[in-house]
Formats: sequence, C-alpha cells, structure tokens
Amino acid sequence: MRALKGLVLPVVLVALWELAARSGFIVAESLSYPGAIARAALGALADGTLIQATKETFGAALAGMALGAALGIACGVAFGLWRLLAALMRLSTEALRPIPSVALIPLALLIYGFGYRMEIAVVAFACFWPLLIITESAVRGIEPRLIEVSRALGLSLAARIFKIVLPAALPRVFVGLRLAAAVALVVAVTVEITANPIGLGYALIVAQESMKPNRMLVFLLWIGLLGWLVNVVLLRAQQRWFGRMGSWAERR
Amino acid sequence: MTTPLLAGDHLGYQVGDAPQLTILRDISLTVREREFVCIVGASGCGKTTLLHLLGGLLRPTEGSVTFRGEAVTDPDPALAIVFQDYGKALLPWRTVAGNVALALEARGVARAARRDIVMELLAQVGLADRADAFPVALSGGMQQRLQIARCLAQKPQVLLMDEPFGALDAMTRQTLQDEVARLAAESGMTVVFVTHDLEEAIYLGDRVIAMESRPGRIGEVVDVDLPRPRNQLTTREDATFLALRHRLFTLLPAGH
Repeated sequence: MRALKGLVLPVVLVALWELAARSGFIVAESLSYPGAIARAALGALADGTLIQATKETFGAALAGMALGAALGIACGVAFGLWRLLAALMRLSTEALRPIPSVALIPLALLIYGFGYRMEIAVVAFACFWPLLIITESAVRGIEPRLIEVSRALGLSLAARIFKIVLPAALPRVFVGLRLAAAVALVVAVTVEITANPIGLGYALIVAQESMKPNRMLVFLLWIGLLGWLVNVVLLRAQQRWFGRMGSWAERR
Repeated sequence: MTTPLLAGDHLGYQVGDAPQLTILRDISLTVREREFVCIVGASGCGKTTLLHLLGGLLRPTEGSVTFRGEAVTDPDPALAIVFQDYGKALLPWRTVAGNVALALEARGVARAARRDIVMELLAQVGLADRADAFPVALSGGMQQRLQIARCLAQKPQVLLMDEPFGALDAMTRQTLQDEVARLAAESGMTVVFVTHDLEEAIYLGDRVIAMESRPGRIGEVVDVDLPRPRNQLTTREDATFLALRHRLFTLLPAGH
C-alpha cells in the first residue's frame, strides 16, 4: 500500500509531462516526452545495446566491488584486531584515502589501457575505503566478552576470525557493502563516460554526442533504476539474513 | 588429603601504573578434585578477577596458578568459564545447537559426531526441544543453561562459574542451583562458583571462601558439612546451614 502511495507522484508527473509535450506546451530539443523515450527504450532493447551495456557495466562494477571489498574487509579485520598495525598504517591510509577515485582514471588508463581491467581497478579503489573503515570500527566494537569466550574455548586464530570476529562484524560490514554497491555503480559509469568505451556510461555519451536525447534519457533512467534495484535487493537480503537473530543485527 | 587439582599460590593482581591499584593481594587457595568451592564476597571485592586468573584469562602480577601441577598462563579448555552475562557470551548468529557445537569445533570433533553430542548435552540442561531456536528467543534462565551446555561440551575438568545466576529471578535461580549441583555430582566435575549471595554459596558449596574487599583477600574459609543431595527447603532450615550463615554474615559488609 505504501509502495502504491509512493508511485502516485511520479505517475502524475509523467502523465502531466506527456500531456504538456503533446499539447505543444513544452517545445525543446533536449527535453523529450515519455512516449518518445519509451519508443527509444524499445529501440535500445531491440538492437541489443541496452542489455550488452548493462552486462558490461555490471560486470566491471561487480568485479571491482568484489576486489575492493575483499581487500577492505581483510585490512579492516587486521587493523581492528591489531592496534599496532593500524597505528603503523594510519598515515599511509589517511594520505591515500582523500584521492578521488575518478582522479585515478588517467593512471589506470596508462597502466591497463582501455577495457575492463582499468575500470575494475578504479572501482576497487573506490570500494576499498568504506569497507576498510566500517570493518575496522565494527571489529573494534565487537563485544569483548565474545573474544574472551573464544579464548576460553581455545579457538585457533583462524577459527576466531571466521567464527567470531567476522560474523559479529557482519551486520555492519553489510551496511558497508550497500554503501560500496552504490559507489561502484557511480564510479563505473563515471569511468565509462570519461574514458572507457564500454558499458552504460559510454552508451549514454554516444547517444548524447549523436544528438539522440531520447536514447540518452533511456540510459540515464535505466542507470537510476538499476541503482535503486541494487539497493532494494541488498536491503531485502539484509533483513532476511539478520532479521531472525534479534537486536544484535539491527542495533548496528 | 588428595593433591590439589587447581591452586593459586600467593596471587596478587595490580592494574595501572603510578598510582597502582591493588585488586587482589596474597591469595592462596587450593581446589581438590570433585570439590565444589564457592567464593563469596561483596561486589567489587575482586572475585571475578580471581576467577579469571584461575581460568587463565588474566595473568597474575604476583604468584602463580597451577592446574594439575602445571602453570596456567593461558586459557585451557579443561577449565571452562561460565560468564555472568550470558546474553553477551552467546553467539547471537548461531542457533542453540550451533552455540554448543562451537565448543566441539574448537575441540576438533568431527562434523558427523557433533549433532549427537550436542543433542545429548542439550537434553542434560533441558533445552533439547529448542535446538534450532536463536538465543534471543530464549529466556534468561534458558540462555544461562545454554552457556552451561556449551561449557560442558568443552569436556572440562573444572567449571569456573562467575555469578552465573546473579541476573536471574529467585525461582529460576533455585532451579538452576539444583541443576548445577546435580550436573556436578553426576559428571564428577570440580566447580569453582563465585557469588555475592552468601546463602547460595553455603547451599552449593563443599567449602566456602569468604573474601574481604579493598584489596581483595581471603577472609575466612569454612567447610560446609551438609548432606547431599541438598534440598531448597530442608537444607536451608538446617541448623548447620543457619550457623554457617550467621558466622559468615558478619564478615560481609552490610548492604553489599
């Protein structure tokens, strides 16, 4: 019911937009109307560009996120468990972190050239930081009693990390993953718009440069929809996995 | 007299530097095999610290702890610790069965053998029908039972219990007292039981060690010569019980 209420405004706006365009109220080269965009969407779907570009962007974003998140979580656990290590690395990480990930595009281009690898590298860099920071603080925040329990039971270091530390930190790490997923999509599309000739970002820029505003808007709306979908899926997964275990997961 | 199973030799524990705070001073105690020893003292007297020293979670700044004649410097699976705050000591992401299985995993028990052992232990503490529930769905008494089951899964020789029933209501506490006494008698386990409840200490113990505060030190040690199995009604009305209560009561400061 709430979802339906939320749909009222967009539907009314789209209808008004369509009406205004058809009645000749809006006359502009750049701002099309819903009917024309829908036709352009069918076109992009029919010639395969939409699906191909989506695969490319998703592939690069997912691979980059997996790489960056894995490294971020690993470093976060290590920094969270060993304060000395964190203190030794503090200056280095604080110096690297402020670099905007998109500023690395020229460097990535020099190293890897065009293609997936440079895009994955930039996305991985962008996703590394949120997971490093969130995992480190999540590990620090683990109930000390649980660490004592793991010592009293005589768990090995590996067992302690995989059976106590990671599960205990997981609810917060998952929030970091949701954050990273949004960042991954944004960075992947940015890389494609500015440099890399693949994916949705490139399709968007090609449509714009070939003066096809309807087609451009199709890709724009599609990117927005994808970002929204990814978040919905991750949010559902979070509720499903952690919901049954009580306030432990929700508090974080 | 049998040789001591677990012993503390002139234990001292200080924290901080300049000014140092002495938590425990010159504590010597021995626990014999199959003995049920209760340590009673006011809050803040250092009895939890003493238990953590005995369990190897903390290292004494003076003296040493020995288990079967060997120094205890790290936690030993033969010494199981039941923590007071059961809610924090259980893994909320594991089911009841999964929490017990953790101790078996630490012991390296094969996966195929775990389920049977877990179910047997859960039956012992009366949780067999809740094996697949998550800890959050259990009452406080059940959560503490679960923690005890997990400690039993360690196959310990000594159960170190830190005010295990302090946060439970009176009815549940009495039930669990009898269950622990029964488990200890059946399994032949040695128990060191820390509490601030004098009557609980006398009711459960073969021996009661009363601690004095600031710094924590041993005040008095009394043998409890009451027949077993004990009974919540008759034991507590026994003349010996009342005499011990009277004797130890004066030792603990009022309003603790």
